[in-house]
Amino acid sequence: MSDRMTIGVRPMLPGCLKHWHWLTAPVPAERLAALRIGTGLLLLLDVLLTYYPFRYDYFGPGSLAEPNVFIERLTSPHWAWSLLHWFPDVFTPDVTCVAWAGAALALAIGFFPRIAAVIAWAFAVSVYNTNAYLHNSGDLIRQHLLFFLMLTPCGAAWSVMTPAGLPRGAKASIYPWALRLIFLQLIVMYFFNGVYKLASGLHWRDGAVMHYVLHTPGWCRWSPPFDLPIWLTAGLSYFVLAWELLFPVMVLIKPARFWALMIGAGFHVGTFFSLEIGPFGLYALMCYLPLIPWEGKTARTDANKSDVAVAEYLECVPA
Amino acid sequence: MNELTGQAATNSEHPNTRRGRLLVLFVVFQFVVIPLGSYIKMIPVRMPPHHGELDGDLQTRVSEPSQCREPIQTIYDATAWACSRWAEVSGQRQGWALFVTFGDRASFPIVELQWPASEQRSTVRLSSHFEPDDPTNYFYWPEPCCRMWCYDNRMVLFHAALSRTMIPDAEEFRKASFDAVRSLRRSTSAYLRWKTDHYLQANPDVPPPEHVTLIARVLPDPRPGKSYRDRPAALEIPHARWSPARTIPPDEVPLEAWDPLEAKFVRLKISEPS
Repeated sequence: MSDRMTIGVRPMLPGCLKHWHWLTAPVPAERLAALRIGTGLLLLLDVLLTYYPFRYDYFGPGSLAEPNVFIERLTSPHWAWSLLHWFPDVFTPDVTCVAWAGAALALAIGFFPRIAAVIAWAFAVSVYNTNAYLHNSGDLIRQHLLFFLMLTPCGAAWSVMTPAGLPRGAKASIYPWALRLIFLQLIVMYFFNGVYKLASGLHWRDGAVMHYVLHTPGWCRWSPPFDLPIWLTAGLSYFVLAWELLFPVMVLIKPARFWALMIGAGFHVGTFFSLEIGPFGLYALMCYLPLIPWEGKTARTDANKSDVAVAEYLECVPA
Repeated sequence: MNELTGQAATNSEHPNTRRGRLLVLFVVFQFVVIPLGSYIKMIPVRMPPHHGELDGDLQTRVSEPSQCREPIQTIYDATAWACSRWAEVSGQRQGWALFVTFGDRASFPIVELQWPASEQRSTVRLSSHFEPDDPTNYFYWPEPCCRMWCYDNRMVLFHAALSRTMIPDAEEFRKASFDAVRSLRRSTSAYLRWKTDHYLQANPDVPPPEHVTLIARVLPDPRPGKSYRDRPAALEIPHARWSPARTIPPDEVPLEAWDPLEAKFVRLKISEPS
């Protein structure tokens, strides 16, 4: 890291926090850049594939959002907002999709990336609040990611625009607070999912939930090709529940960290292809991108070392 | 010199600047609000019950306000209020409970268009794109129209989530059914109008229908231990009806709701207590 220039505002954390290496020591800017590019490209595909072809069905006069179907969330006592609601004549379905896709592209290539992130975030929130029933929790993750990207120097690496002050060819590092917050969000998401399932998920407690998930048309993209034994579906149910509840602990323990993250990534890939949850799994996978040593540390990793050693490079939790 | 890493010559700002101090406040706030925003949803607070379109808010409400302990309850109330408002402004909504109350059946919307007898037209049934022809043998890839599934699903979510088995009291079930129509009246009206418009655009020679009915087609799953081929028979439950030509009084729900006891559609007042 000694040949890198640190970009961005350095937070002066109070008390013991300022000595917390995990939270304060700069990390290679490629980690944040990977998040920016991944989120930008996924958002671009999302807008072009899942919104643009249906834009008149989803937004504007005669759509599923009109007249004022979701007005309750935009009025007192709520503070939710929507550019599409405030300026319906400006942000028509065409303008919304084109501007949003443009912002996603700019974010991906690093063209005024923070401004692009602001625009992309504003449209993500606006679209969510204008037609809430099109969306699920994956779109909330999208909003979280864009929110942090717009507040960070996400163009410090792999960007068409070189950050001010960074000499040509020089590599940058960034303060890691945003990446740590995204990881905290991931922990909170899994853990509270587990808590709610344990507290109020009847079929999670009796182990039947995966049987029902895999046998419910609409949610599941495929019918089981053969009878699934109860021990398998019950085992899967308890495995998912245990993984969600134990995730915060597993990422604190080095030998378990790698597997906790691998299970999570596998879980999102698997559910993307097997469940009707739209791009949820893909947006969740974006949260994993900053954990990968894009700056090339793995190239120096001894091939003979175990997975645990690789996991030590996943700078996600306190060492 | 960077005091944290020992590296020389950075262009990062010194922490003791206004931006640095603001950033500290923001980072600390985020470290608190991300877990707190989820945790507070599980703490009962004094908040009016939600009526209206589904908002997905998991906030637990106090059932007996008279038994609240002060001042801690006021602190809970204020925390829940602040977390909710922040989530709405920033888009950083918390409260993660995915697939928690997964039921034991699927429910798909069917929209039925009916014309007056004088038109001598057969009833048209518009099925959901996502309903498989054979629920024991199907497969499909992720599709661009995946977002429509979320909307379709919410239209008949009541019948996927609740049944007479779960609410044995007939009167209570009727009230819940009416409440579902009343709460989702805007989205259900928009959905029925949108489905009708699409049909009429594809069939320009067809006059507007007299009635447009939303039916829940419920596909119960086989019980655990049963073969995937042993699916119980599907059932269809009328849910709501829209009459495009009917003039709706301002205090009335623009849809008629299916009365499961009387087996007929009835009109509802918007403010009718349930």
